[in-house]
Amino acid sequence: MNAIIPSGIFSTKDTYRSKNGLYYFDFDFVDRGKYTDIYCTRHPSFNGQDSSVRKTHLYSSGKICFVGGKEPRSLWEARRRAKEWAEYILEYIRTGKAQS
Amino acid sequence: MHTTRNKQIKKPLTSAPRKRCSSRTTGKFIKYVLLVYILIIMVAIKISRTAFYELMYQLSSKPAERGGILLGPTGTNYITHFYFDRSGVCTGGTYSPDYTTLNRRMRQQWRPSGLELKGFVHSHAGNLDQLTAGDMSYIKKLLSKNPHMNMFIAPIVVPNQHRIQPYIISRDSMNYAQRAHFEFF
Repeated sequence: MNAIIPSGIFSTKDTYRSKNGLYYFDFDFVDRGKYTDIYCTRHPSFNGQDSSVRKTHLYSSGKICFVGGKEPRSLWEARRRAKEWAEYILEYIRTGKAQS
Repeated sequence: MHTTRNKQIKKPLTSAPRKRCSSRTTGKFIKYVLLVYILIIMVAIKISRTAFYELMYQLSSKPAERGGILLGPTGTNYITHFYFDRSGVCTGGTYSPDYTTLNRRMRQQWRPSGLELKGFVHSHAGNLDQLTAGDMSYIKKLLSKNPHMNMFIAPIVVPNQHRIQPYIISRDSMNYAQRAHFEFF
């Protein structure tokens, strides 16, 4: 039979739906050896809130900022931390209160 | 009237003491039962040693998110060949097969030799030995484009641990990846 290989991607990207079910986030995880970087490739609009890294912990590259030495050590931990960040961002968008 | 329905058979108050199983024996028994269960549940994938060594050599020695194609004789479920997709686009989190080259090789080289697509193998970062949602959506696409394939073999190599975990995705249940094991020939 004529096997066809279509275009596509094997991806470790995750889509996260917020707890309230209204918003979607896309995350890409990049293994750096000792730790894993998290990139957020889709998130809801900040809705006029300050989008600086200090408030959102999100660089313009999409990378989520972690304190040096506190980065997720495994992919499992990275997924958990990405979900936590997503819920934090929704809270920040809603209230404008940022965590340091 | 005498009826025997309500009669209760009295058990003797004392009975022979039961022989207690040691925790070590119980542990061994549970392990044995689990092993049998796993062997029954897990589907076997037949793969040639050369194909297996080649794919482990290529994928476990390189950074994660690389991959290649699994091939076998037409009309069988055997895997006899592995082709490492050197020109596939790989990022830290994704592997996009070079489908143009693979399709050309399929047309010009593999199909005339009596080989057909059996599946794709790719590697994952960290210790992740499971197919992700992204992987499953591409596998569904592959199955939908190839209606002659009843199942798709999709092993995951974990280079960090030099380990491989085979999976089978059946056409009947495309949302479920069944864990499998390799049988060598």
